[in-house]
Amino acid sequence: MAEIERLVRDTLDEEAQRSPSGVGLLPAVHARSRQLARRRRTGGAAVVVVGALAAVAGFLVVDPSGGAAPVRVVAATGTPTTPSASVSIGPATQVTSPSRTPSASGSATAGTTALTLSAPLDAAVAFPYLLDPTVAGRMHPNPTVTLVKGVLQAAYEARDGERDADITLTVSPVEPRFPPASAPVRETPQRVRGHQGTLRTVDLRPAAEITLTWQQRPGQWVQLRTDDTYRDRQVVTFAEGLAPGRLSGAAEFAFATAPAGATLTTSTASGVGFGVRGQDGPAALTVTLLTPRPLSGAPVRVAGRPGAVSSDASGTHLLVDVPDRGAVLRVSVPAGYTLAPGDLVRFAAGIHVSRQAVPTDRPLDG
Amino acid sequence: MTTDFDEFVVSRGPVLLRFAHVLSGDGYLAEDLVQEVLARVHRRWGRISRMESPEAYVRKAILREYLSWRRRKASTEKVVHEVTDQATGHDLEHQVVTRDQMSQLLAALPRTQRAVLVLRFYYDLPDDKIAEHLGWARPTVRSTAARALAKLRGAVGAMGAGTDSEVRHG
Repeated sequence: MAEIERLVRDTLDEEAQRSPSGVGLLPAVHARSRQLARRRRTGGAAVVVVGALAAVAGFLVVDPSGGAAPVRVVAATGTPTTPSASVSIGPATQVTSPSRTPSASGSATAGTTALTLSAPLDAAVAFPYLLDPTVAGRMHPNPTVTLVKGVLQAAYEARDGERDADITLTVSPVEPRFPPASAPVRETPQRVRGHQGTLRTVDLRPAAEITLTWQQRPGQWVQLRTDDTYRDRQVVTFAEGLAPGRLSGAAEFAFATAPAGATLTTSTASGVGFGVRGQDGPAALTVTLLTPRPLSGAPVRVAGRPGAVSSDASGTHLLVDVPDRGAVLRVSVPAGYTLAPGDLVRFAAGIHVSRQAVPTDRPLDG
Repeated sequence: MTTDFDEFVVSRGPVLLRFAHVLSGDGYLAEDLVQEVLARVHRRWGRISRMESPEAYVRKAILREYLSWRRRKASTEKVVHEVTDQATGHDLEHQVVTRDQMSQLLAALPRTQRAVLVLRFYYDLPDDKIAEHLGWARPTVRSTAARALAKLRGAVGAMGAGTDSEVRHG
């Protein structure tokens, strides 16, 4: 690294140490939120001119590859490039076996599925629909794309938070269920893209939530969520304007080796979950970047980093310290699946964590 | 919803402020940025909180907000060494440039250039990821970073020659 680059890095690191403390942030945010709400009320209803109904010919012919998750794992060729943004837990050659092994035996026993490791994997996912360009133009580019337990989501953020609202799209293999509402709910049937759909409004404050749900085809349910910045008719128009496409998400985790034949069931900024093809239910292997916590369990070294392995009724868990991210990496093999102890450590050693990854309090397997 | 939102602001606010501060180089501007973004997030919290990573969403919003805000003269204009486009032949190894001076030089860069340097050198993002975050083409990221570094080299060279002048905003 050039001297000027080193100086820039050191300077930014030092600036980070002088950041504001956050005292008084919450009341300031609430005050500003009330101010924005007043401005919305007095500014009249937002009007979004959406182009003609984009009545896309052949609209219903959706790219089969853009179907609902789970997403098939496509192994990368060769060792994945370790971007400079990543922390490598370490190369597999530095793995040392745990002094005390977890319960996972590494071979299939009655009622269990043995996992084996194979090719590298980049945990990137893609969303199969794009907003109409007229609407997308009012949103920031590069919406956040995630996959959570088989449900793909693309979250668009409005450029103008006062005149427009965020739009979130989801694609699910099963009919979505709503959590209990904490406010009055109104549901009305709507014809959407040639299918029967439902427009659901939850009268929340400061903004009512609007969700349009329809089944696009067998095994693919689509939802469009926004708020009462838009009228019902506009929401339907947004749905009509969706076009098949490929919206790529960032991959904050890359794996030097991944479970053979696995599918990605979850890929977010905080973790990745792998499933086994043909088997429903919880993920077969999860990786979560956790907020700092004690390493509880039998001590183990993972590429020179301290770690700990433990087993309980829920499965086998490996925690690895990632001090340069201020985080702890958790690899979990739930009950019903096994991974040989050496492979568990080797798998962890081959995980690359992007600096954009976000530590969370809640393990994916929790 | 408000309670959940409040918890998020209290627990993650300092982290978001750090991100905004490194991005903007200005504590007051960082507070304004984070307040503005969180106030808008408040309205949408019902949906955002159901995302797997609300914090990642908010960070991206802060980056966008920073790049889109009109320059705030009072908080960003500082008298520092001129940041020109010219690199010099001075050997940086032999120059004494303090981090305070570099901090001032970084503050004088155009926002897009500073943002690229922050994403590259603080967050260690590769150019393709920076391009994704900013909605740019990868070559644009590369050329923007190169211009920013050339300006800094030029300014450092000017410091070595004892040339002081006022900042020129790009």
